[in-house]
Amino acid sequence: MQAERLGYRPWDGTLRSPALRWIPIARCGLRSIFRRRIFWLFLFLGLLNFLLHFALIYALNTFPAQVQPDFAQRRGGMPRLLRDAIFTGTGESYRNFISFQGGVVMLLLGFAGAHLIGNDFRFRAVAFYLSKPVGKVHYFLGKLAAAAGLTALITLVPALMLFLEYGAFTESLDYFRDSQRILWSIVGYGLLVSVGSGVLILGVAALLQRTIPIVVVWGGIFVFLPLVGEMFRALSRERGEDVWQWGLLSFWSVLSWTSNSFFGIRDDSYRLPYTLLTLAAWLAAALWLFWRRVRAVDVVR
Amino acid sequence: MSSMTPAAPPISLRGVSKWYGPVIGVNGVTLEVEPGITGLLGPNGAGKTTLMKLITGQLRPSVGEALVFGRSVWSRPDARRHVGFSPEVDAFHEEMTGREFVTAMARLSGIPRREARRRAEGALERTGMLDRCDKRLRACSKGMRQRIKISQALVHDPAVLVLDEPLSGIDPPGRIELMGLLRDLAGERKTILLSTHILHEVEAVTERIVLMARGRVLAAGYVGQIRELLAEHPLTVRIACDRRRVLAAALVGLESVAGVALGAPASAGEPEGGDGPGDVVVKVRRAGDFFRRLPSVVLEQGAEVERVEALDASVEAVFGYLVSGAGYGGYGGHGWDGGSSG
Repeated sequence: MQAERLGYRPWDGTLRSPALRWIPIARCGLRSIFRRRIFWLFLFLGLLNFLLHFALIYALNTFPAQVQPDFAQRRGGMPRLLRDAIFTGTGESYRNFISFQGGVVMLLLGFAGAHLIGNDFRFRAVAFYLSKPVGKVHYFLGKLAAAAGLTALITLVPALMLFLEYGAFTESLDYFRDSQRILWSIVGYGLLVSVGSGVLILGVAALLQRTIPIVVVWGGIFVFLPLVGEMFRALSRERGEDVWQWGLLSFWSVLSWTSNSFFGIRDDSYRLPYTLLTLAAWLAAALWLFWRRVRAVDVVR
Repeated sequence: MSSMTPAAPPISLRGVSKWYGPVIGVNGVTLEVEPGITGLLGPNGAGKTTLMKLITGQLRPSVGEALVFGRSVWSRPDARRHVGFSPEVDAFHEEMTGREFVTAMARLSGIPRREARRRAEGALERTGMLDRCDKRLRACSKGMRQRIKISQALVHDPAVLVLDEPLSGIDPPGRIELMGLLRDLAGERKTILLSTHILHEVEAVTERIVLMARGRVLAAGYVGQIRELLAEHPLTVRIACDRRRVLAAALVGLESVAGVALGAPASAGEPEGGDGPGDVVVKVRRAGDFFRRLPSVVLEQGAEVERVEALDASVEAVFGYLVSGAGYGGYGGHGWDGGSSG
């Protein structure tokens, strides 16, 4: 080790391409997150559902063959939440799994927002990044990669592992061959959830900076708005018309409905333009908020 | 440093202005900073931080250009590889260790991983933090954080260092050590722009200053030169000598002298206007002329001079005159608490 201590000296080496300089920013962010125990708790909560599914797939495939038809019959009579939780290897199962993770994603990103982004603005630490030979795009990409990486750890990655497990338990490898669309849909939906919620938290955290306001507003987006949407939708049903567009107030529903077209679960194509427009509006607003802050303007107060 | 334009000054600002909506941060600044240490001084809201952000490419000038070695630091982020910036930030990446933070900043500059680790170690060693750099930042004192910030500014071997209040929060021995480091870096032909509100510390490391107030550069250059240009504020020189009445009478005749007064006598028993040992206080218009003529006048009068000192040639005095002239009426030349925000 001592031999490597060459002391401070001039640098005349070749610098790496700027294209990948978002990686150290993402690494810094993730390192800060993983140093705090509370985030391990959130990750553990996020992985509980995965472990449950993992165990269920294992159990169903190692049960005696005669139990399974009976189980399938019983599944039909179960409440919807429980029925959705039982893994059948269809696109719907994976979509339900990822959608079910929404609660933990909300908690995880809500609390991570201040650490990843808010503190940079609050303590004016953005200057460390932006005074280096990187552009604002690198800063954005680095922070987005950290936020999306966290989300992917409890959505995309476990969903892919379930896909592998489920396929591995089939008698032949036909499942992998026949389920290409499911695989790409998992990747698509996982990325949509990770990047979509990542961009959203970047905007919210850049605007509010402190943990409590971020969690409150984040909770408002994921709890209050869907409730309001549900309420208005129920009222519209009472009037004899189902105005499903109220559901667009729920960011998670927007993601889920968009993913239906990936998985081909049901004919949701009439919703797609609305969901895409809503998603674009959410993301554009978040990007605008983030960009406004990232200019590192310290207005003289 | 092959991408530097030869002969281009390290830092060059050409008619730079920056507005924040209706608020003006920096107003028509044209400035060149040469290698060595330059102190950036100004009261709160003077525009120092804005100027530093313009130089480090964090802000886009509303008008004009900020150049580093002849390249626009805003439109060509690669020009920032020649710049190291230590901001006046106290809290950052609390969960990381100093070593991790400086290494990450080296990686951000484009230095490959293994070399980044070595360079981080070298930079931390240079600021005296190597033995404490494995502490998490949240457990570091303000002085330790300052050293880590300077390390990250140094890590990619920039030719230009922009340091915002680098000495605040550091204990006196640490200050002396860091001032020594700054002098060493200046000796390596680095260009250091140093913002501080502790005026005597600026004087300890450099004679070259940039004075700002209300977004404008009031003066830039060597303190002595700037002082000489302040014609409306004659330099006050105190001469401790014997035969002070005779010497005072002779000095009145000099063209460069605006006025002479007898100061305090050396001993309590001596009358106020007596000719015994004591002070002569001279108001001088052209200091260069005066100091050239003074030895011959002293010799002609047969006086014995114990001490000659300029009372208001310090950075603080120059700063006070300039800033009060710029409309900061409350400035009294003492107890200035100017920070760096703005």
